[in-house]
Amino acid sequence: MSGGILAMRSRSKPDPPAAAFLAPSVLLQALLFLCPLAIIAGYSLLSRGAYGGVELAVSFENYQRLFDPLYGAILLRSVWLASISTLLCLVLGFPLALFIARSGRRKGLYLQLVILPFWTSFLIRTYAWIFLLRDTGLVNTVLTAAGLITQPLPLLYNDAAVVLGLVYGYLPFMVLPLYATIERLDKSLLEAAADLGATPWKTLWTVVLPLCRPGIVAGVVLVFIPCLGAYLTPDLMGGGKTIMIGNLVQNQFSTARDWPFGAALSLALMALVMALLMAMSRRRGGQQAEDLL
Amino acid sequence: METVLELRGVSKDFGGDPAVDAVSLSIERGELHSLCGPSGCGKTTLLRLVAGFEAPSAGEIFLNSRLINHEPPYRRNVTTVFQNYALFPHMTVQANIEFGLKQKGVRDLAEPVRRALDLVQLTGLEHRRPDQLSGGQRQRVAIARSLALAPEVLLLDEPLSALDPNLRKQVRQELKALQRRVGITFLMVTHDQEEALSLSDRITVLDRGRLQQTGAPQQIYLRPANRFVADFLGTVNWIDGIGVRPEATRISLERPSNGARVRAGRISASTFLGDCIQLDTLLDSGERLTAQVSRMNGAFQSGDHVHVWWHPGDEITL
Amino acid sequence: MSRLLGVYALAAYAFLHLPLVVLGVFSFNRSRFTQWEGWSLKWYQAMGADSALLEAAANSVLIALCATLIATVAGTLCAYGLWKRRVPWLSGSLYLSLVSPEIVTGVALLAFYQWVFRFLDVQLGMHTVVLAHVSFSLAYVVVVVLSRLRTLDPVLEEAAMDLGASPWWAFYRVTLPQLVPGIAAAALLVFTLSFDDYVITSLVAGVDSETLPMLIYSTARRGASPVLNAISTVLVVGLGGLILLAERLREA
Repeated sequence: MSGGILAMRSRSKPDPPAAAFLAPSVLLQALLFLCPLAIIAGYSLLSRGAYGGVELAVSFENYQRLFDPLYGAILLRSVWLASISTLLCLVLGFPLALFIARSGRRKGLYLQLVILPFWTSFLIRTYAWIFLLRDTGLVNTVLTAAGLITQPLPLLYNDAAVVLGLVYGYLPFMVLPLYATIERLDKSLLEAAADLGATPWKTLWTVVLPLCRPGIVAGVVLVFIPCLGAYLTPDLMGGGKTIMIGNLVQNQFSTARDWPFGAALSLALMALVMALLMAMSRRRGGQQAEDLL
Repeated sequence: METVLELRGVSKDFGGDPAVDAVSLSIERGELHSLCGPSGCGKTTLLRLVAGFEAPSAGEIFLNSRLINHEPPYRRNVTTVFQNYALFPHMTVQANIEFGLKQKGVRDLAEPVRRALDLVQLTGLEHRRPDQLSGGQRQRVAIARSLALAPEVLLLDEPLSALDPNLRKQVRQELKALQRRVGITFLMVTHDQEEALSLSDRITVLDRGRLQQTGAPQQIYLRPANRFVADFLGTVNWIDGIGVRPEATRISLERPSNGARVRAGRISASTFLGDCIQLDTLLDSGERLTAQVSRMNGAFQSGDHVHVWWHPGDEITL
Repeated sequence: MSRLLGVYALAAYAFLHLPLVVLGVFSFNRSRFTQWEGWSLKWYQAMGADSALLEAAANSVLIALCATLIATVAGTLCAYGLWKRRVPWLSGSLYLSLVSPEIVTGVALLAFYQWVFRFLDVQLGMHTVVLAHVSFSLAYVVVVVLSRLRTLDPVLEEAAMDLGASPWWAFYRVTLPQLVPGIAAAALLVFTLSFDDYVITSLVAGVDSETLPMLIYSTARRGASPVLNAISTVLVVGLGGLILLAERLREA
């Protein structure tokens, strides 16, 4: 019964090394992500040429300019707007996450309802707010018709509008990790708290919230990072003055045509993002955030 | 007897202590051989070395006197029944069994598939998917899938551990009957010494990667090569370097006069085990000794003064 | 407390969904202004008659299809490779590309293209947009497919090889069929990401490659328009459907 089988035709081809599977993406990733990063890293050390090009004169001047009061103010402003938006996301997102985690069999549906708008075009979601908030938008029209106002309220093109746009855009990033931690909480801890006489509010404050720290850290970082690098929201909903790092970068590459400085700004933004991620991965929430991504 | 599989000084280390340490072993054609030992003893690694999923760090593996160290698993004519059976969930029973045959380029698949299913008595379930089968049926499909290739050696990794305990004893006998019927060499890994003793033609006991003893069940049970083997295969009372198993230990009020070895002592505990009674005794010399006696002559109570004795022929001497 | 939570959740869901619902309703408004004058399909008809719009939409579909094809194939193979062997620098690089701000990815690609164009006789166009989209969506494919792979039992491939299948054949016959739902979900995701993208596209697009989001942006910049309401509604419903399908597949 043996022997014969060994002699039969085998369909075997040479072993596929994992490298063969990885090759296409290694190529794409190196060419379309790492090379571009290396190029702007190079540009950031050059100087701006007379006609918008770059000159081969190595200097750290572009990085020094980051601390120029004019640009420093923009950096601080970006951090400020991103912080406010993140805080609002946390305050608004926590009760929602709590609600979803406690809604039994409907959990899946409620979670979907949070995720779905997140996947819908960011541009269109921003546009929807423009439609609602501009001077001749729905809100002002309705309020005027109701006789509550005579002049349209300046709802759009200011800092508050930018924060609204960011919160609207990134709330799901906060709700998802919060939901995941609340969901994983040991139910018996809550029962124990109740058994020991704690009211639901007291339990929330003294048991649930402290145990959710990893989720909170993950959510905060996940929201803060895209808010900090936001471009579209401040561009469409911010006023002339509401400029954030993202817009500044875009400006250097278009109207200002100062690529070396724009490159330095981009790298500074990347460095900030990476520093945040590293700080988070040292904490317990890190792994969880990576899982979600 | 003809050797089908031979290991010569095979070692495997994954960095750190070797998982398998210089094991030499011959498996004879047609036998049901068990690799046995506590978890972490290297028995599964040894099986994976034979299957070709791991390459030995040192030593040689021969299949039919041919060195197979560097042959990938898909070129070795040995097949494995995995612990969790590893049935392809997206294929029917029939497609699972056909899978290996197609690799071998077999044209007419219907006949070998029918024969394989017939062997494990699953005819009629060809079109079921693995998740529509019971645990026992899944195990039999896994065996049929591997047997269909008529391997030189069938490797079984804890084949009964995924089954519920009631089914296990029944399947044990079916497995042995199947092996006799097909006449293929079975090399089986198990951590259950009772399973190994009741099924195997020969048993190899491993500990910390090293081979402790190879032999027929009776031989290794009654004449263990060392204390580890003796203790692994069942409880042993050790007195002055001599071992005696609880079932060979007798208890009586009267002192026996038939040339037995006798110790005096007291009953310290009596435990009802269903099919027998376990009596723990404290000898006057201070040693503790356990006996398992039938219910008929186990009517002792704690504190009873008794004689503990056994036949010299039942002693385990190392 | 739970009633309070329920009321709050209702408000939160209204905040998340109402803006788009209102936009959808007003896309059927007869009036050009934000006053309701009754139902009408005229903005949808206007949309269908706008040749610039249709051309932009066609560009977007073409770009999204190409990017989806490349990113899905490369990303699936990559996920499989990473499942077999850890490659820390590649995982790190993919992770980084997932978290880099879009604007940075965009300007870096622009700088890279301009640098390459010094040596090659090429210009910005559809091809540069496709490659840019592949660049930012590759990591998404890897993440989705890898999460599917992690649910598979690696022993199945060993079993296939044990039964005589070569590693390639084991991948093709045993692993790949079980990955299909994950791959399909990843492809749908990449399609919507690519179809939606504005920030990166606007930086690396050439004169002949205006996409639908670029058109939407320039209209939104000037305020609002009823035709844009109609386009938005079509996109939200269409792409939302794709995402729901993708989620369904991921769970399958």
